[in-house]
Amino acid sequence: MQYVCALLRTARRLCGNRESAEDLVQETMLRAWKAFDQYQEQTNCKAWLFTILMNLWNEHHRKPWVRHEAAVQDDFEPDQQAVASNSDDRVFIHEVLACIDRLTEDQRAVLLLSVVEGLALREIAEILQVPIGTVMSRLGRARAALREYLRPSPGALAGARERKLCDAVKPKGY
Amino acid sequence: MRCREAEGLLAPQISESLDAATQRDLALHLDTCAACRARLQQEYELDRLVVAAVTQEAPATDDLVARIEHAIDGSRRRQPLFFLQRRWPAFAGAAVVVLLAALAISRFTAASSMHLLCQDAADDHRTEVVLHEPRHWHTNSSDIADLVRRTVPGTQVPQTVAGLSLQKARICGLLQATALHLVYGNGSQQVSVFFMLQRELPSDSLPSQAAANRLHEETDSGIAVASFAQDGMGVVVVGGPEIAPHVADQLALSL
Repeated sequence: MQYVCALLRTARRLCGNRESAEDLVQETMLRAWKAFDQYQEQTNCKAWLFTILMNLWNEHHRKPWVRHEAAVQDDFEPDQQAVASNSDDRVFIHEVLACIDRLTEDQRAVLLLSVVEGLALREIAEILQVPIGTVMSRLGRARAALREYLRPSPGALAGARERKLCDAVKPKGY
Repeated sequence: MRCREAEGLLAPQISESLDAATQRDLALHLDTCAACRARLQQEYELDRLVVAAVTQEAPATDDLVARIEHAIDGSRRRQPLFFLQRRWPAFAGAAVVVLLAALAISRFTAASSMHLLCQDAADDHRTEVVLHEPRHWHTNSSDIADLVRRTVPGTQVPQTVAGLSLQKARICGLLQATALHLVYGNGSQQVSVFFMLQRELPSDSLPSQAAANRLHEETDSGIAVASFAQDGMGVVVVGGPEIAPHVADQLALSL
């Protein structure tokens, strides 16, 4: 169950709401359990789980776990163990998440798998079943788009407010 | 290395996906290019921002983990069923193939047994009756009755059938069974009738008379073969196609 948290935060950004994300993660874990004999030892278990999750997502993402286009919804629940220190930071987190959600699904998936989950580009290429060059180009476009979306924010990127936010939050699983 | 080339390597550098040689070249470029260093720094900061925002969301709750464990427990209890459900097309396909194969083998075996029996009887009739190859025949009625007792005890062999009279008899073998070979005839035609115990024959080598499924078969030489089984008795009639089926029909009624 150590990867449930990682699966859930990615599923959350893919599905757009918590309930669908939890369903997706539950189905992922159940399928992984049933297909565990197919898991090859000495390989990255986390990447294997994300492969299952992305396959399920691709199979069903317009059916059971329909993405709600309202990018960031009211069910935002900050991690109590790493909560941003004040309401301004929470608002800014909300804005960043909204920007991530504005990315295309392909860009968002690559960004999450690479930046948040720390998977290698080669592993992401295998998970998404695309050439590694495609992963790199999607990641590049995702970064460029994200920079563009965040530019209007006061003190974007290297500003003191963001540094404060980043310092206040201890990233998990990174 | 030019800035444009270095720019494309920044993301792989952050995700540590560069090979050693490229990483070394990029490091050399970054040592001398402040703009690319700043760009790389921006990339790192952007990543930290993304990580910070995404990881702020609630992690997996105990409820979700409990749900997953419950689902796995349920699946474990239903594992054989799930196993079948997940692979039911394969199982169904395999079952159909096995059934079809068994059916085909069964039908082929049955058909082969019937064919062999009929062919064997037809060969005997052709060589022993039509071609008159020398055999030791019994013509005396008491001898014939003795042969009947020895081969198919309790059977009332008719003296005439379909206008043909019993002429002679001998014991022979059809497949692995001991058979009583009777020859009925008149002045112009002869018919061979073989009696044998059904239990000595391979199963399904005879059609059921009760099912009115008498087998009639034409051999290459124009000889007709009719066969049936009744009360544990196997009967094969061989003769001209215009007479053999009638003999078989009458025997089925009289036995």
